[in-house]
Amino acid sequence: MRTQDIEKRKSYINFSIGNENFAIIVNRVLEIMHLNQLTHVPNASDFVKGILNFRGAIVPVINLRKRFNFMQHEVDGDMVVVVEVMNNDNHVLMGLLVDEVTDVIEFEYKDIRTVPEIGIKYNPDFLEGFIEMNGKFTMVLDVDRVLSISELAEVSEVSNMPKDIHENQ
Amino acid sequence: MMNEFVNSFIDEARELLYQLESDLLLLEKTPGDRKITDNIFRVMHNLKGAARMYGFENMQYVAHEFESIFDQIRAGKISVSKELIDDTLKARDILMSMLDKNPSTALNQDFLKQLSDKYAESQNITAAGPVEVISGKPSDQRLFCILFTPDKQVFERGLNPDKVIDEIQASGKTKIIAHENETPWEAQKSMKFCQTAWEIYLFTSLTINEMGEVFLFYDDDEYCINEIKEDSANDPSMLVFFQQHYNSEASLTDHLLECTRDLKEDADISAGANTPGVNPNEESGGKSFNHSKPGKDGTINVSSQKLDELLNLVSELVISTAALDAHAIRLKDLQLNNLIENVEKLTKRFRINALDLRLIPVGTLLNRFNRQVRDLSEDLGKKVLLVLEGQETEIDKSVLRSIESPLMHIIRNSIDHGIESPQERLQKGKTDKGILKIAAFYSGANVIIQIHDDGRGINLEKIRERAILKGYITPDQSVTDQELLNLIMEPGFTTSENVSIVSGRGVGMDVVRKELNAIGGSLIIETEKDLGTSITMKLPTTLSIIDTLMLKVNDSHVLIPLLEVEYCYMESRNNLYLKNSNYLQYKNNMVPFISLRQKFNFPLHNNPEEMVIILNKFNTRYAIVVDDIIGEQQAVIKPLGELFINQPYFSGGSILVDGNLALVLDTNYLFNQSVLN
Repeated sequence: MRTQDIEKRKSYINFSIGNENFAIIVNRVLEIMHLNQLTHVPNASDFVKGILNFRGAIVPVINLRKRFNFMQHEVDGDMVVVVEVMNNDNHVLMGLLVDEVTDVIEFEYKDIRTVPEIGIKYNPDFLEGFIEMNGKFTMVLDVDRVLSISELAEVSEVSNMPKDIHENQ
Repeated sequence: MMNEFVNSFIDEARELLYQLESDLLLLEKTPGDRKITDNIFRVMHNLKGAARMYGFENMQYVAHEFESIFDQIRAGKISVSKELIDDTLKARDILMSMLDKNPSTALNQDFLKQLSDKYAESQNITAAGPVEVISGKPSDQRLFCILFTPDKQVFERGLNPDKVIDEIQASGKTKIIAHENETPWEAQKSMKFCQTAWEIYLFTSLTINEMGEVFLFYDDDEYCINEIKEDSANDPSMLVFFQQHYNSEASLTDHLLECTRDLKEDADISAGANTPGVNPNEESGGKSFNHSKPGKDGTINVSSQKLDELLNLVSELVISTAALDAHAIRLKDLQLNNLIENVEKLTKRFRINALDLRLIPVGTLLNRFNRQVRDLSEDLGKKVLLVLEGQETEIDKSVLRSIESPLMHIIRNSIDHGIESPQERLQKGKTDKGILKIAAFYSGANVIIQIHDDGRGINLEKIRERAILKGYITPDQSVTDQELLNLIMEPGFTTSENVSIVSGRGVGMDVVRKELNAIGGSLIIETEKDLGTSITMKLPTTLSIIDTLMLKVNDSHVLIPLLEVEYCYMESRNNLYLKNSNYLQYKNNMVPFISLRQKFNFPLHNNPEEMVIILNKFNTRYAIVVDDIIGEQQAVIKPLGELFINQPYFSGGSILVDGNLALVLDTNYLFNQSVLN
């Protein structure tokens, strides 16, 4: 009985952005690293902080602050969590820009509680739910939704494409 | 696991069917060609065996029909006619569709029935199934020598040579000599190490191909089946085997006589004077069939995914080596520097080799058009001779794949609109047969593919009318011929009066150009009334590595293909922006320019000088303005990924020596931006 309990528990990487705590299931995380070499991509979406070289591949770094529409302006963090995202059956690597990676926490899937529709400042679609641990709330991210390529790419087209492109098409 | 094998079967079978198609077309031109007939027969035979193994039962059935038709051609019982080629091509298409869909694709029963009936007149003789063996027509029995030398590791492939020997023994009267090479065969079996070679004399009614089926799981070089004839003693495979296993003094002729005496006596009794190899008057049926694959030896199929992975690793090695070199220079250790120089040389060669692996001859694609040209010209009532040149020119497989449909489109256009009907051609004093020439050749780092027809040419007047009608130009506007031709490549521009099934549905040259641009290629159209049209495709040899010039804009590093750079110079800001127009003066021409700083929304900088890069594409000049030039850079281009799919300025990224990234500018997009606006 006890071993079963342990097996059901999954590990999550716990990180913070501003005052918020987030968690990502550990088997989606490839690496946690300091951001030191970031290449800016001109005219890219606001969400895209830039690109970096991760083990020989080009990986975009997503600014979660922008993705979540955090209003207050703060200095962006300098830690990158490289995660694997599913996009139409393809594995795509993406970096998440976060302030601080705090620890690894363990809990069971059934501990995750549904996010109430109201009273939350960002899109509940991005979350699997939240958990409460030691009086602290942690949002469990749905990586595939938060980093949906079609959404991120689409928005970049509308918000940042120079006007003349539309004329040309 | 099984799926993997099935996929590789499908790939291989597809190649075989393409080969079959071109062989059939070749056979149509040279109907008596023994080599092609043999080749087709062999291909179908192999396909039949493999199809059965992988559960493609319907394919096996069709392949069998094919095989028996060609067996009869080989035996001279039926001759090659246009009708036969038509039928077999159709059967080949059925095979292809079975591959494409799934193994259970419904058989086109009627057609196959027809096929087998049509060519089955003489089947009572050739359809030598197991029934024939039992009824055993003695006159059909022949004497064969089978040389069987399994690979040493044969047991590891899960095979047991004993089974082959048993099967052969069961199929006729045999004399078997095993050359065990020191260790007894039984011991070799227990050691799982095969050193034995067999020499088997067999008197049987089976054909060589039926015997070949016994060796389905063995490589071509592991066995050899020869019919014993007068000149068998001169057969190279026999000679080599004989020299390996007997002392040199003995004569092969004597040896053969010795070995076959018993069998022959039986043969004499049963077959009378008709026994092959005894009666000097007996005409050799030419049945000896060489089982080694012609020209295909020494090639293996590797999935392109594996090649990509190799290329990626090599690219990283190149980058690491460069970083190592930079570090070593700082250390000023002479010995270390020399060692690294060696490593660099090897890495360079390694990379060239790895890139080379992805290259395949253009002919593998061009040959497939033989069929389309044949069918199309027939449908349209035209006579067309397809001439292929430079088929051996090598190009990246992915480039080749992406030009298949553009090429097809151009060829259709040429046959449908370019080449005239035979009557019209004769009236014009041309030969009734139009010539469509596709030539491929190298030009620097590019491969050029030129499609030329000797038809009526593109009617420039009609394009002009159309352009006016569609509002591209005004009636009194003067436009050059080249500008008119460029209009054909505009979306939705088509001049065909009546839309035919073949071409002219409005999706035309614009799609072709777009597809070529997507892989970094370009397109030039030239035409001359009644002399024909020539379309030139300029393609990169490989997509993965290019020579670039590295530029600096703000703090971004940007790469542009070196090939397109014509000239670079410094210009003062005032001169550039004073006139408030987007043109600059270069060699007495007005050239449009784009400031990357502006395009990328960077703030203006304080430097009074700007760097101007004059670029040349499709013989048209345009310029970009940047902060500075950093230098030449060989770049391994990597995709930016799907996230940037809507982002038009960059076509990829490249990892620099220090591990940083540089962006590769999409010059096609910039070109369209600056020149077409």
